[in-house]
Amino acid sequence: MKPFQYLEPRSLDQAYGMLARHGDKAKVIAGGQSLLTVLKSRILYVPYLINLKGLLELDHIREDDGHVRIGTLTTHNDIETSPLIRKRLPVLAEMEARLASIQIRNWGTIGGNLCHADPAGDPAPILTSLGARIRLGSARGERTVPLESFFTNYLETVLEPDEIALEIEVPRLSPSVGSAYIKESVRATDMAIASAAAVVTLNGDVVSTASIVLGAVGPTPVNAVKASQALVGHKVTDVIEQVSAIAAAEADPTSDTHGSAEYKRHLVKVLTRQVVAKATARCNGSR
Amino acid sequence: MSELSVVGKNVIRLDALEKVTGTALYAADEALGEPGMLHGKVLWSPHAHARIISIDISRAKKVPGVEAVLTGKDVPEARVGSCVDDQHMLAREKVRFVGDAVAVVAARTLEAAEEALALIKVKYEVLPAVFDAEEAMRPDCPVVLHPGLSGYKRNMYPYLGNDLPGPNVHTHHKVRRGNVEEGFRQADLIVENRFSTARISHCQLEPASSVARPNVDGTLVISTSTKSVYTGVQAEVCRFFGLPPSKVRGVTHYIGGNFGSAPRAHIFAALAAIRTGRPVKVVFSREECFFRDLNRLPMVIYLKDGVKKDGTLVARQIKLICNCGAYAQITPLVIRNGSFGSSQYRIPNFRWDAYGVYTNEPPSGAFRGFGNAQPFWAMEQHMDIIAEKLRMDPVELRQKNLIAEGEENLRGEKTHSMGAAECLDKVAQWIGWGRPTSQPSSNTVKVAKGFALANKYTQVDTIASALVRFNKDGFVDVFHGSDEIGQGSQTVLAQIAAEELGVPVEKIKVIWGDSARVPYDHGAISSRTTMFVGNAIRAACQDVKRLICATASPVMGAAPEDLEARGGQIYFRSNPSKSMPVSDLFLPGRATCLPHDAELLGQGTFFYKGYSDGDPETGQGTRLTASYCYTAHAVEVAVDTETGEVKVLRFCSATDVGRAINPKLCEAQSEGGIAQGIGSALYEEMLLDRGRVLNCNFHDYGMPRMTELPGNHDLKCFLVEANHREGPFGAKGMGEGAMTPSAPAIANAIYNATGVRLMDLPMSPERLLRALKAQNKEAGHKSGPL
Repeated sequence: MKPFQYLEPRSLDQAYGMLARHGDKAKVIAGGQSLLTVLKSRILYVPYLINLKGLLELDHIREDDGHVRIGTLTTHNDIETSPLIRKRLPVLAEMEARLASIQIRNWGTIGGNLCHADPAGDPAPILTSLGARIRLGSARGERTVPLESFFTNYLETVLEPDEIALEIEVPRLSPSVGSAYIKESVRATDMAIASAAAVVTLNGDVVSTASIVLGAVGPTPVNAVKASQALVGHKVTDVIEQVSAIAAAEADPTSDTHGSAEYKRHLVKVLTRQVVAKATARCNGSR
Repeated sequence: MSELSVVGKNVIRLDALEKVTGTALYAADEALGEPGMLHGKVLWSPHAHARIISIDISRAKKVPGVEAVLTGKDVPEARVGSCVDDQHMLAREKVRFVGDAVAVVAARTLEAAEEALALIKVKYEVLPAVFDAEEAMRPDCPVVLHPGLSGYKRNMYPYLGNDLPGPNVHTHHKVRRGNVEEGFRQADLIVENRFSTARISHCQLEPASSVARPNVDGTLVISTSTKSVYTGVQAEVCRFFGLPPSKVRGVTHYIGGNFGSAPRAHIFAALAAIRTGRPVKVVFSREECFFRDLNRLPMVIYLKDGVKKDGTLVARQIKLICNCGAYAQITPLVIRNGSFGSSQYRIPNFRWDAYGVYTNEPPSGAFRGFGNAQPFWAMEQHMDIIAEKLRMDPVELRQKNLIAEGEENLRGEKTHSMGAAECLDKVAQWIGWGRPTSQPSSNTVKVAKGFALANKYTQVDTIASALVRFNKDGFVDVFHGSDEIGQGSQTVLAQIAAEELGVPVEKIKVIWGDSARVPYDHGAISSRTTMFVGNAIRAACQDVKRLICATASPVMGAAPEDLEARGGQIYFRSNPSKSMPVSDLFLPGRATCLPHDAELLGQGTFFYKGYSDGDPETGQGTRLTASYCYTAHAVEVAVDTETGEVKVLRFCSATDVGRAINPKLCEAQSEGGIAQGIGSALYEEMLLDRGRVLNCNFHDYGMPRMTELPGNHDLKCFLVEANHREGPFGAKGMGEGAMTPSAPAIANAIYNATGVRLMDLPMSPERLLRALKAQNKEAGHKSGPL
């Protein structure tokens, strides 16, 4: 790793100032679980590293006006074990429990994970299908972006060089909504070869709303809009094979050392079927 | 043999405290912050095959802090190697794999070394390359890696063979017994298949590290993470640099795992130290370890078996094409010794042809099992295929063909210490062979069991020496030349000394790891330390006991043979209630000195007098190995037929260790072997893109983690003790056998679960899914309109 300057802001304003000053010569670091790998492998070099870990105002999980709000510095382990998350958004705890290993969950933060924008990351698909939004701030002010439009490409987001991600807001789920996240990895603690998230609402046994989002099978999380639409207005069991096939067609996987595009597309089909079934079974409060 | 007091006990590892407190020293801990020390970095070839047109080091040399930039011009003219002298330490005219060494920089800081490395300008003319061993083996292969091969010095001629079928073939090893054609004529059933194994990495946790220090007296002191201070360090550096043994001192500390890897960071450290006259430290990154460690030799295996209706094996023919990579290294010996495994069954007609082939891939070498796990991948699947075709129970088929104690094996050796039958029975019973699985299969998840039997020999043609010093305070120093590579050998060797001397194991201090201070040993290889070094230590202990009795003889007024030294006391044999403490023999106020003799020093050596090399044309001999360790694995797997994912639910091993000196350590070896075996079966493969390793880190390379291993009641390691008459207290080596049957056992279980037989390693989810789909297609055709 090449030498760099390490900065520790004491306040958010100070951090904004540092970013405004150094622009794209600087990167913020939180848990370091993604960034250090990128720096070590020399994919990226930045002369300035700004450590946000001291900004305690970004480390929180709270609930207000119909939203669960998760500060970007919250670690994966804190989300997994939070009583509030387990009560309001148990699917997030379930997702976090499968994210890497306990050592990584103790260091890694939700904000770092999302801003690193690896399409194989676990939080993005389920947060996107839950309709989460991400609040961003800079010396210029704040803005809130739906997670769906946050990711622009492989390892790229709408985040400006002077901006910091502050908080993720997730709409509170009504009891009639069912949600699930499933990933396939070779080893339990690996990143996903393919993953799928689903959030489903039922009217009787007919689907009234659905959101299926796929992970690791495109440059960004893939919002499987057509598959979701094909589910709405039908009994799940009537259309699930067709919906899974549509999702597989919507996926845009590439071959890499973990699997071929063909295998990943096959997994999307299997995972979509499983995740929709699982989410549906959870509608109306049954877990 | 009387009751044993220390041997057979679960003595806590002598190194446990140091290791859990983080105070244990490893090679990379050496010389931290040492003034004047230089950091060495190596420039690796980015091409699989290229001619070096020119190397410009002018800019690199100008980087502040750089003390030397060395290239092929600075290394000895003569080629070097292990079995074939086919390599220059730094490439001279050509590079032959991605990772071939091109230049070494030594600088005062690591940063300066790295900066200089980036400023070396090498002009290459890229040449066509060959990666597939079968293609490279062809007589007309257009790519020839070593056009000068016929003129190279071949250090291990008897194993290399004369009739080499192509210009890239450096080894043809043969075994002949009986007449296979005649055997196949007698057979009622002939089974023939092609198998292949993957290139896998040792992944020992400690990356290669070395410090080379030139002393003012002209001695080169080399401390390294490579095992074997005499053979692996001293002898090799002497050979590579043309130095006499008295000028090279090899030093090792604790070694953080080995499994056969030989990355040789010390060669580059030594080169830079010799050229600069300064101490030089070289530490490889994990990425570098992947292409420099001498990975497990990938083989393509053509296996043909002939068998009678009743299950009697009558003929086996096996042809192996081994992708050795760009340099032969130790692969000719791996190829030769890989043939020993076949001798567990009685096969009257046997023919083995193994070819070592050069390709433009990273060179291979030794890997736990030393060439035996690969043929077992094929042979132990064949046993199941044959059993199914004959409608026989696969346990019974194996039992029927197992060679017996005293019987001559297919290499001409008399079989001794044969625990295989008991190993098979133990695992079959524990896994519940023939009984329902622990959980039922569902529509998509199929559960089944499988097993395999394999073995690993211990090399016969090596020597071990040991020294033992009995001190006045009752403590005993044991000096030997093998290494602690994590296997726990120091503890086992202390137990052997404690047992022989009748002293508590806490009073044994084991000293190793320095060729200037410990007696000669061949090193921690070939599962040989317990047997060879253990025997040498035992002999040294017996020697010191004789000396104690001789010294006590005039003092106690009895002939030496009427005295017995045990537990720090000297007894009258005729009246054991009368004794004298050994400490009374020493001068008052001196820790070790005796009044007349200097010290109570005993020495011992162990080697085999009657071993044979084996006839180069037939591979036949009378004593080719020291011992065989038999291992059976039984496994229960769950196969997800929708994703191809395999979960190992339960795993059982039974290992014939001769005698377990320390049962817990034997079990630990077994468990480690199972983990490595599961990795080799399901996950591990160095993925290469035109010779470049794509997954050279622990993120992308699939070593199993705790989450992939069965635990608690789902994992069981049995020890079988078929005492070996030449082993210390009956013990024989067992470390390598621990993973040899894993992959075929898992493959057999997958077949029993799904009806799909995988012939290529690893059995990745994608590969398995593809095979399942092919099977469905075939089944679809069969149940179709016809």
